[in-house]
Amino acid sequence: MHKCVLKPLKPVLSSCLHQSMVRSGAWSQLKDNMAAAKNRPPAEMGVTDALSPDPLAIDKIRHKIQAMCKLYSPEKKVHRLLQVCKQIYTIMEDHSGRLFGADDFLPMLTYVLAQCELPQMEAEVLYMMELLEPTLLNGEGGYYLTSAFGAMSLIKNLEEEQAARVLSSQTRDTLHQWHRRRTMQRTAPSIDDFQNFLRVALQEQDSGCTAKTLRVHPQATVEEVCSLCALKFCVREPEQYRLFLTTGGSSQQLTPDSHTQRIKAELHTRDAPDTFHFVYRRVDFQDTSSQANEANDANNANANTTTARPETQSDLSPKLSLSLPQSNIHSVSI
Amino acid sequence: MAASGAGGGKTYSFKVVLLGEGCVGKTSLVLRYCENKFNDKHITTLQASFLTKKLNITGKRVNLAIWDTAGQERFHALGPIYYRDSNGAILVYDITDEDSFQKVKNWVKELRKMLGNEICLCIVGNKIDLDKDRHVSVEEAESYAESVGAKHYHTSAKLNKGIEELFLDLCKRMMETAQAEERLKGNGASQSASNRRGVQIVDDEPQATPAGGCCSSG
Repeated sequence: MHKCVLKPLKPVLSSCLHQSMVRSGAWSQLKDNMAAAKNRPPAEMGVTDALSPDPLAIDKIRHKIQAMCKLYSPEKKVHRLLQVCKQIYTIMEDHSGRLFGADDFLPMLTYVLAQCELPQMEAEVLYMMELLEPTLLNGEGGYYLTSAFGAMSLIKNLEEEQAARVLSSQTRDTLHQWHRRRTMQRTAPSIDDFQNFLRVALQEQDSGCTAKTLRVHPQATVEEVCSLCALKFCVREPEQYRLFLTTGGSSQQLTPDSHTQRIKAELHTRDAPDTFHFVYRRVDFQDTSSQANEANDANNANANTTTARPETQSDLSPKLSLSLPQSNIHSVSI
Repeated sequence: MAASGAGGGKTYSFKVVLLGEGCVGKTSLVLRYCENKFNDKHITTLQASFLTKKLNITGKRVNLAIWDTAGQERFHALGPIYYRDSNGAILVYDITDEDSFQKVKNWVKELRKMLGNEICLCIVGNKIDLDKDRHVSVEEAESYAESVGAKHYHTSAKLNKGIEELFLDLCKRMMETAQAEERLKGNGASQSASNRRGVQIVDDEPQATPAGGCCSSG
């Protein structure tokens, strides 16, 4: 599979990733931070008593990483990454004769990656994280991939690191979405997990909810999403429709200049994420008082429109459907 | 958590994350436990940051993957990428260092918030060989552990004390959690489809298929 799919895909993916990073300014920022990190002595990167590799060894490691970048198979790439880690360990051990844990290894890896000054490592790590066989993610390869990701985000957030001691919200959101896509507990990823898509439900007085997945860029405003909805849902009077966000029991209209994907990201990264839906409906839509009614309506309406199994509709009260555990609700949230 | 049937018996695979301040002895602890048990079949037998251990508990095979983390404050923010998907967490403090116990409390709060009650927590007071310099009282530590649904252990990596028990106990608890989850799944399997309600939707797209479902080489 890797050969027939990934081989032709890898160069395309890499150049797309690169271009998007250049466009967003992330590339030059990463380059700058990497150059700044390169000038820092090992101690400032958190390296304490372990001796760091000399320039010759750094050169060798850089070549290994460059060779790794050329491969298309995520498994083979991870294998190379492990060789790099092993080399770092060997150097550390040769000088001290003891074994090292993460307290010493992670700072050293960060230092070495900064010395190598290869900003393309960022995209490489993402490529492996997305495409590595899920069972391998919890193994040795997954561990060192995680460490490489950690090291790169430390370098990327070099300046903020001192002040904030937290990952940038963007990194957190990327991680959160990646986690949802790649976690072992979930079998199928939901399309909503992707940053460029948005599920929007059309809610009509008489026919219940219909949802569509729309391609919505991270920067798109609510106004743009509304015109897209008008087009996709073929509503007759688009000027009468607005986009609403419903969470828990409440529903609020979104202002035209807000950004739906940012709202989604914000909701995703909350400590205790609520279920939420983006709903496209008429301004004069009669919100039949409470959430229970709303859900009830939707449920009843569903009986007409979906192919859901009949027995699921009849014998369970709407009240029960609202008391489902979070995980169940989440898996079907739009 | 992954439990798979292999060769008739059941094999559990658990991920355990090691958390705690730098210098509390996380690495020595796990090295002690996995001593001379390096798995030669691994692609590369790297060092002490990632270790594996195979056990046999009441006839069930258990594969442990132990993830060490960097304890220094500057790496704190990276915690979530290490503990995601963990079945268990070992939170280590140094009994002679009050501050390291405080750090454990912070980790407990964070883990409970992020992962809920499904993760088995072990709070470990290490370096009991230095009991004369103890700064964290046994009562305080034990009652704290109980209050957050964690188990407390005392270990000495130096004297190889309490470590075997710690891991064995943790494995048993993780197995119980996994079994309880399976039972729940077993009961709920037929219902999972019927649970799909709330604001239900008409899908106009084919369902996403699990990544690599058809061609994974194995």
